[in-house]
Parts: sequence; C-alpha cells; structure tokens
Amino acid sequence: MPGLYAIGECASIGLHGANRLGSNSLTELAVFGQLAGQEAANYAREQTHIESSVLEVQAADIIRRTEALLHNDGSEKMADIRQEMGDSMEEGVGIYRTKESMQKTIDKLAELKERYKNIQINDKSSVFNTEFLYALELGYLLDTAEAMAHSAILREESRGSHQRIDGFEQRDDSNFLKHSLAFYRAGQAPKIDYSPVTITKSQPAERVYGAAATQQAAAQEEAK
Amino acid sequence: MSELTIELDVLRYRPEEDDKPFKQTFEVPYTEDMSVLESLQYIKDHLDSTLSFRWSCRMAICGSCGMMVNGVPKLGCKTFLRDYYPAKITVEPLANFPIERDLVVVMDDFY
Repeated sequence: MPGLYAIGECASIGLHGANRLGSNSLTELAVFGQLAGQEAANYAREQTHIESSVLEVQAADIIRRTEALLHNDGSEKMADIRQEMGDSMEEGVGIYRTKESMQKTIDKLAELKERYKNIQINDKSSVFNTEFLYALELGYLLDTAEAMAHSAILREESRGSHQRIDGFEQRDDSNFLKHSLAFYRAGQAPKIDYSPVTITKSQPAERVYGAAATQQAAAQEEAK
Repeated sequence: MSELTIELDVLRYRPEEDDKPFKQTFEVPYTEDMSVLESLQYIKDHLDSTLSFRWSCRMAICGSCGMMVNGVPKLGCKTFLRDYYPAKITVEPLANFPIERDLVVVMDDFY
C-alpha cells in the first residue's frame, strides 16, 4: 500500500538475520524508525490526497467485525486460550524443534483459533476496555503464531534461533537462504512463500560459543 | 496453585456505571516471587476480567504500572506481595491524577 510505513520489528528490514538478539530491536527504533519517519514525511509532502472511500469501506468492515466480536456472547475463557497458545508454542516451536513437535503445535493452534471464535468478553464498556483490547490482541497473536509455526515446519534446516534436531541440524544455504513469507488467508492456515535475500557486507556465518569460538578466531587469524 | 492466599483491596471506578470510586476485595494465590502487577493479572484472568490497569514491560523500565500501593506510589511490577504478606494490600490509581477508569489515570497533564 503506497504511503504505509512500518517501524519496528514488524517492518522486517532484515537487519538481524535469523535471530534477533536481545535489545538489538533498539536499532529498528533509533535508526530505521527515524529513517521511516523522514521518508514518510517526504512522501506525504509530495503527494496530494487520494480518494479515501475505499479505505472508509475497509474501516467500516473492521469496525463491524470487532463490534461483532465484542458482542458475540461466547463462553471460551480468553486466559485459557492465551495460556495454551503460549505453552504450545514453547513446547513445539521453541528453539529446538522437530517436525513432530511443530505439527502438534500447528494442530493445537487450529483448535485454539476455532475456540477463539466463541470467546467470552464480559466487559462491554467503551472506556479503557482492556479486556476487549486483550481479545483483539489474542486474535492477532494466534495469526502470528500460525505464521511462525507454518513457516518453521517447511524450513528443513537449522538457522539462527530455528534449530531442527530431527535430521536437519545444518544450515542449508542452497535451499533455504531466503526469507519466509506468510500470507494471511481467512479461515485457513497461512500460505507460505519465499523471497530472495540481499546480502551485502555480512555473510551468513555460524554463531559459535566457548572452545569452538576460540578455534574459529584462531583459524580466522591464520587465514589473514 | 499455592495454598497460601493474600487479599487485595482494589479501587474500582467505571465512569459509565459507577457514581464514585469504590473498593473491591479480591483473594489471590500468594507466592514469594509474585508481584502486585502479577496479582492484578491473576484477578483479570481468573476473578474479574473487567478490571483495567496499565502495564507493559513487567521489568521496571517503562513505568506504565505506576500505582499507589498502601498509599505509596510504586511500580506494580517491582513491588512484591512478600513485603506485605500476610496483611491485606490496598491498590489505588496514582494520586493527584483524575481517574479514567479503575487503576487507569488520565495522563494528559503529565506531558
């Protein structure tokens, strides 16, 4: 969508490779957040207003769907779904993964998405209604969890924080040096596709620790 | 779940239905490592889902969960039940701000 700018990890600018290490998200905010803001301002300055009726129709549709969720009179407890989702993601799509563990989580997420349709929201207030906010968040969390699990199960290699321990322990650049793209599909699992990776200065490399790191440093020194 | 419990008096105010703020008492599980914020999250998940309060980082960085605990301004996430147990704890919105709802205050004058 022209004119839509994303800031933060949702922008997926490819800065972090296959494992965004703790607190490195700050770079997205401090560097690319500023760039995105500047670019958005430049874009806005050069554009004239477009016909907004299409957006208004979409906005009305979103309002209709969220209002329906608020008043759906369901019986499923939100905290249970959220907890089960977290437990299942930890169990099946944590750092160490197998096809079996990921499939189990995929099945569980499908079940939770069904139960989510019948979610219970007691608070109907229009003032700082955090229960409603949590409910909306939970829906998107389930979508995001599905995108992760379905992308992961198709990636038959190990890379970054995706470590397969079922016969795919090595990085496989010939088949999987590419971005996974998950496309939302209403009422079904996301469609997974791929896009090429642009590599400039930093080549993909193994992250090693302890004695292996000392060896690697020595080998690099020798190669100089 | 722990067998021990602790009581919290939480100030409630929902402008659409309450004329004025009132106190609601909850009994939550007590463990040594549980924060006041976690006890509020327990209440929201299991006892009364309509309780509103701000929180974000849960690690004393963001300041979102500022609230009065026994009359003292505290961060809910770095205030622990063990420092009050077994006495009842009173939780109220930050003093000197208008209440928007429950423990959420109107922050407009802050900025």
